[in-house]
Amino acid sequence: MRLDVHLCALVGTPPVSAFLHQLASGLALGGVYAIMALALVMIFQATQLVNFAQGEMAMFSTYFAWRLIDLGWPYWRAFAVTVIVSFFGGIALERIVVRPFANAPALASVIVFIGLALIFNALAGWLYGYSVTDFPTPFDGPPWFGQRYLSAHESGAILVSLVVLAAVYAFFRFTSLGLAMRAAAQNPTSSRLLGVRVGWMLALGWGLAAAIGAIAGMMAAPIVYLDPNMMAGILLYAFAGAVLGGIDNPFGAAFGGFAVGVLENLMGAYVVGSEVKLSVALAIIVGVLAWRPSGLFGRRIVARV
Amino acid sequence: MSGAILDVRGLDAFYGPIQALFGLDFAVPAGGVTALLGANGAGKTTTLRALSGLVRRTGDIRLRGRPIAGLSTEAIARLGVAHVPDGRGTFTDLTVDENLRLGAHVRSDRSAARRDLDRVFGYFPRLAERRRQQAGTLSGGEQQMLAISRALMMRPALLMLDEPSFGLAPLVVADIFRILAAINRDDGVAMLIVEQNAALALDLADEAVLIETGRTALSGAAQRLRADDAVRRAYLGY
Amino acid sequence: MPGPRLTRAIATLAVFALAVAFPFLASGYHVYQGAQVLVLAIALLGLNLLTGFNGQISLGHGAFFAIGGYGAAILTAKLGVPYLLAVPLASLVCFAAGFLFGFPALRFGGLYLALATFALAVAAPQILAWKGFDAWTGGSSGVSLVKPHAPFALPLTTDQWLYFICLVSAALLYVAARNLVASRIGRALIALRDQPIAAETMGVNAALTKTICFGISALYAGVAGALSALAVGFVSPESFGLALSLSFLVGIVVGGLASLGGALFGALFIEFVPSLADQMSGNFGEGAKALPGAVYGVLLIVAMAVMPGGAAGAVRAIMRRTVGS
Repeated sequence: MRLDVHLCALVGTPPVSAFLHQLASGLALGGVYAIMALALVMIFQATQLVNFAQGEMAMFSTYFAWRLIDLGWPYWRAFAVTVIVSFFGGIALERIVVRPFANAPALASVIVFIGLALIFNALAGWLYGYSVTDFPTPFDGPPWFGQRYLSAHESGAILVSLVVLAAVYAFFRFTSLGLAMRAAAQNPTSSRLLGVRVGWMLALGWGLAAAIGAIAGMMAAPIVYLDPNMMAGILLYAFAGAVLGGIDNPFGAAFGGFAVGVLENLMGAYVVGSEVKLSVALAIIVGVLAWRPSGLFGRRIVARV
Repeated sequence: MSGAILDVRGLDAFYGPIQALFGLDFAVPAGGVTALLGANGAGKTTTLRALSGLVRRTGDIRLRGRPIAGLSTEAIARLGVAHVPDGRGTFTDLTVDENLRLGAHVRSDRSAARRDLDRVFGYFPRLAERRRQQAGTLSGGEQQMLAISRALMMRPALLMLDEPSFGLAPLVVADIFRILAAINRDDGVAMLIVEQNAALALDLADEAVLIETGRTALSGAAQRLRADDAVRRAYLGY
Repeated sequence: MPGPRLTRAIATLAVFALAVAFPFLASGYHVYQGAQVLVLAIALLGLNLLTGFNGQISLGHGAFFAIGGYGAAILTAKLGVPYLLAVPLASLVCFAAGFLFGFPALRFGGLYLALATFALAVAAPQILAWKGFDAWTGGSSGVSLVKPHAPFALPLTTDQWLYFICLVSAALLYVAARNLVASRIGRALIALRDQPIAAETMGVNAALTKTICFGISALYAGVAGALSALAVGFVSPESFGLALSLSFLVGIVVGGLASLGGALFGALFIEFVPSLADQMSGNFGEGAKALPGAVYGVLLIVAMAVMPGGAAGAVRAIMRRTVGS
């Protein structure tokens, strides 16, 4: 886990500005958690299942982008191609691997997701090795707007997450495809009676989740560095964010992601120390389940098991 | 039968290994209304579900002469069969407007769909007042109106209604059946209607089919069934 | 032809006899590996009680294994508790930990339990390495303990002695698990898995029963962890990561969900697939490190698709065909 490397530069800064810096850089990773949480919620809403392979899928996409950049592609072209390939990869995965278990008990689906996670992790290790690698950022250069709390990449990552959130919101709110996807998640039978191809809507959900995950991975990698295990911690924080905000509510979950990012950073810097930051996520998950099981913005918990 | 929108011959349906329908025969004439009558559990709802492909079924089902027994639910809907299911199938978290937009999901003629929206608001002005409201907050009668409107947004060749009177106050039911009659008369939409309330259904219908334990017990012109003594005693209650 | 019951008894006895003879036939390292297999089998028995019989998934049993291991190590090395007492004490701590952890998570069904236990598995190594616990846990360098020698001048090597401790523990815990499953509580567990609403209507206290099941399951993991610490002579945070928890899951799925006998097969599988991969690194180079993960992943999916009963299910099907008919 390399989540804390960027904090090392802080030694010796005055307390208030160090605090603001912690807060701000918490938002940067928080944005990554937010869009990962959004990807999780997208699949949860349609299937009442949480995709444990989401993180490893994102990691694999990030490696794919890295390979393209390594081949000399310009960053944004590699970025776009990775997002598109991940989208179709997600669709293929749903149709080929996940679909056959649609009517199986939730336990079987969770086991299949774990299987997928193991496969992606192994595949990345086999293809790209297990050593930790740098990943480029398109947001190079001095910090934006003359402030000194956020590096250019951190500002860029926050911007990208906000753009993703806005785009997802617009897609579901204003397009008829987005509407059909919401309908299919909410009432599959009724949707089919209106001619909505519910099976394809699910596959599309997987595609979108994979594409969003790819963006999360590419924004996280310059901060946490690229290696096959880079997403385990990020996925955990995204879970925590989703549970905190309400796993049935996309924007609650995204808010939860930002909140967890900030909380993680502040707790790590001032309370528990950066070595046990992951336990913050654990505490959030168990605490929320114990005290407010539907999350801050969720309605109620419906589990299939 | 010539000129039938829907022609059903020897329809069997199954829930898992259990057979629920046994060789039903009936038709819906073009521009006409056929009522499916019968007691609770006779298989009326199952018949609609079988026609929509929601349960496993065999037999010869033809829509405008085209066999549809092998098609998926989505494909049948796309051919113009609008099924208003029991429980109304409301998308409770979506707005009234969004529910209606979903009705037009498979259509590509945007401007015609917009005209149809005005048309259903003409039939059900209360929905127009509640366009931006969450559909789950509507009353039962309003949700039934919404379900019918959503189905009409598909520009259906055949409208299948499953107990549109269920759980509604008599005045609301009368209102809804008056509007259904108007829709049938003005727009020529053929209907297959399942109803507990046989008197209401027979008023609206041209033809009627009486189902008992998954089999056709009686069928023919609505007038003739209304006059039948057995039907009268068992289903009309006089 | 003998009936299936008798065949089963004979098979069980044969496996047990083989297990007793094994340490006298094999080399020291293989005896050590045998003890590891038994340890894993104990953990799998516990996880299978939870997941196979009660339908509750845990992705974090490695953490309870760790608590058992650290418990035994700290009790013997730092507090001077005799090891035969340290193992049950450490596993009681695990029961308590499992009970307390399971309580909030179990109330909301399997998915949330999966999430919470996943978090536990990811966080466990960090917590174990935390400086605040340094005095007890030795931070990232862990705790060493003395491997126990055979008492009464028995002519057994340390490895052989530990093997027998593991074997006796595994046999006892297997019998205990069988009795539990056949008991009233066992029926309640299965009923809660298959018909949760009906079971609650019949008066089964779902939350309490599930939480106790989680505690028992953690206790099994704790015994396994404690024995493993004795056998290895060392505990450290990296050995108890997410990978361990996931390999338990692989073990019960490959061995067979809701099958206690499958635990041994599952344990053999997760013990030997990684070392097989090590041997194959000659052919595959560094990529061989990826092999266990790939094999695990594919097997999880394939097992769920074509043989949800795992190895035990397959054996049962073959037995039915050859013996039962």
